[in-house]
Amino acid sequence: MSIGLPAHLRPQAVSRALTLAGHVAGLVCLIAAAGMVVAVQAANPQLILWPAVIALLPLIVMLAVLDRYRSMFFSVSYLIIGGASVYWFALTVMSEFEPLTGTDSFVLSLPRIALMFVGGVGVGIGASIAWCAIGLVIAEIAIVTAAVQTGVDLAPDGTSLSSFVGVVVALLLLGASQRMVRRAQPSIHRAARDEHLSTLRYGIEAKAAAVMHDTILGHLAAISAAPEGALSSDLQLQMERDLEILVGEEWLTVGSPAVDVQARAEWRQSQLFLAIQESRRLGLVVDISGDIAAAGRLGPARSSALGLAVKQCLINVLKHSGTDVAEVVVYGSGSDVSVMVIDSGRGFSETETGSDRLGLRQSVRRRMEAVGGEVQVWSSPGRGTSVMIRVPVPTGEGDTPLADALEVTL
Amino acid sequence: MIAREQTVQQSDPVGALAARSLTLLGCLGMVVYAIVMTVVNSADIDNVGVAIVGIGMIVGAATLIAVAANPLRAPLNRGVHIAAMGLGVFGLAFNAASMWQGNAFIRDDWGPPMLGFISLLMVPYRPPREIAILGALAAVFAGFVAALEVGILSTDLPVMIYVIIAATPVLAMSFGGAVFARAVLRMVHRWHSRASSAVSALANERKAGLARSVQQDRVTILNRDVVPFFAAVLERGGLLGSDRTRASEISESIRRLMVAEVDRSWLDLVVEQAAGATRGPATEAVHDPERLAVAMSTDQRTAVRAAIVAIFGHPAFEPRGFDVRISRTSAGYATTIRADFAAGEGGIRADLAPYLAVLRVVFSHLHADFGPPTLTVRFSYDKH
Repeated sequence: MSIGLPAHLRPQAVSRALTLAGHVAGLVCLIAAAGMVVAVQAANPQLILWPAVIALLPLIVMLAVLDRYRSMFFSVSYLIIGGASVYWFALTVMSEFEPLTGTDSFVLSLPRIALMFVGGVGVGIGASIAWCAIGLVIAEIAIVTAAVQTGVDLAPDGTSLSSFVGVVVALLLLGASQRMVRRAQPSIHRAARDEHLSTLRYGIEAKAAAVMHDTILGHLAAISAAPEGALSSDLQLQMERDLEILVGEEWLTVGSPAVDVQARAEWRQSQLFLAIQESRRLGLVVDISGDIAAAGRLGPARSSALGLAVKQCLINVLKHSGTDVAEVVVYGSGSDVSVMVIDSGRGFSETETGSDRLGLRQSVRRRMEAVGGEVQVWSSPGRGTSVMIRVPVPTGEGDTPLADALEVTL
Repeated sequence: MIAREQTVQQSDPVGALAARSLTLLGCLGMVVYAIVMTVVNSADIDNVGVAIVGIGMIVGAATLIAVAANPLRAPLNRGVHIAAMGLGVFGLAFNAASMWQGNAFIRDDWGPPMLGFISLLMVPYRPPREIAILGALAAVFAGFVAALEVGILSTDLPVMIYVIIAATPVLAMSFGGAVFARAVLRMVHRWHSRASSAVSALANERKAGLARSVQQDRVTILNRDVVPFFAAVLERGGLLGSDRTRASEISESIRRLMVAEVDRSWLDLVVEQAAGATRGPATEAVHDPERLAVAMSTDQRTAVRAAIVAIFGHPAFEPRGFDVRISRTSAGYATTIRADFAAGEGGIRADLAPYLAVLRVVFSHLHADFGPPTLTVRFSYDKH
């Protein structure tokens, strides 16, 4: 978020930026002063003005050093070396250059201004003004000394004085204007932080909702669709696991991004994902949730069979259910991977299924049985259809279904 | 949304807003300086009419900048910069022309410092490179006019001296200003990257706590129905007919809750929290049936959040008179925030100005009107 500098860093930032700006303005003045000397020297070869240009070099070098290393030592050095340079410059110009009318000449204003922009150390408007004043006074002393030695008229220099006044006024106004920033900026930064945390919480809530959806709601749906009597061992196991997790474990611990990225890449290459993508292209809206990483644990044959079976289920949703929304939920357990395709469409009764339900029998059930899997269908007219496809995992690896499900969300 | 430029105003809107008083005083200073220097040099002026036209140009430039720097008109664009500098350049030319025959010194002409001044006034609003380039062009022009004048002046000095005298103030102020803007921008960016990592660190620190609290919320819901139900079914080891109905009921109630949660956007939560922190209405104040608030970027959400918190925190705010509406338009999504206040206009506008300035940067077409007692802020955005 580009919402600017916080109030506590502002005086430092403004002071640093002012120093840098002053150094550049000072450099322009010094180059201009050197340019003026060179111009006069070129027009009057009999004069010996070039030493004045040499006099400016230490000042330029010190300015560059000061710009790089802002410290008390270099600030004071700049003033001392700068004072000597200005004296040498003024002395050369005054003794060689006849048309110079007095100490208020523009060519002398320029190094004055350069010395004024020493910047110096210390934060705050007061420190900046003090350094400017010290620089200007040292330059003035150097120039007056040279003038006294060469007999040049003393005259107050309007250019450097008005520059000084301008800088001081700007600094004071800048200082006064920071009050509003001090008031508003902290709350804007707080808003940025709250926004970040709120986004984070929203993500965790979405994850929690997905987890709840994939487990509790899935199992509730399974119960409401199951026949009366004994509980299937699978369902019993899943409910027990749900309870364990609800009561005990930390649900929403966050997985490392590396795991997420890898799982996601595997998922995108799985036949299951391709099947879903294909049905999406046909116009079906498919919500995916659950342990997508589990799909990557299947070998090629099972993965392919699962992909084709799910595709057939999704095509059935499109063709028969009267809705264009389906959910695909992936569960992974140590021994198998289950995929549930759920729609809330018109549903059907097993006894009334005609030849058009061949797809479910052939493409789904037979295909899955061929790879050792099984298919369960729950449906009743008006209450949608859920197809659960279970495929065994080739080797007995991994056994943390729900915990994994919590790690990866889409 | 308007493309973001690398300017202080766009990167540090509150800072630029604070600089507004400086801008206004600077504009006034420009005009006063031009008048004072014209009076001081009145002996040199041989055409008063032309001199007045020159001052008029500066009045025009100052007015233009003062108006365009209004935060509600932000961002100040390149056109304003070019126009202001153009008026300044004409002002310089007219000023030089008014003294064509009798200019004693070029160094006390107001033209060159004025061009530098315009550059300085652009520091909060324009990119550093543009300030430097336009300043350099203006300096070339000032030097050129000075060179033309030299032919008339009685002097033995080389022309280059006058060119340097005219160009130096423009260059020094323009380059100095550009460096100032660049330094501030760099510090804002450096702070931004540091702040982002600090916020991420804070987020990581809080993540576990947030996860626990979210889990707690869920567990509270589930403990009520699901846990006893599952426990009973497992204990019995079999399903009764009533279990199937009960499972559907529980499932339905959980689904309803989830749907309600999904329907609430971050904006509902912000208003709810802001209202909770003070007094007053809850989320019915947010009218966003299509959940368009979700399409706002993080920057935009931050700006809206800060503004809403500031409105609710204002002592004169009347919590009953608050609503936010987001609707779809042909150009994007239009948002209107309405808030009633008990006090007069001046204080409220000034108090909320920093937040409006931030909104102005991240949204396009911001309009803020205060027709007592209601402040209406309108802005729009595109799909993120």
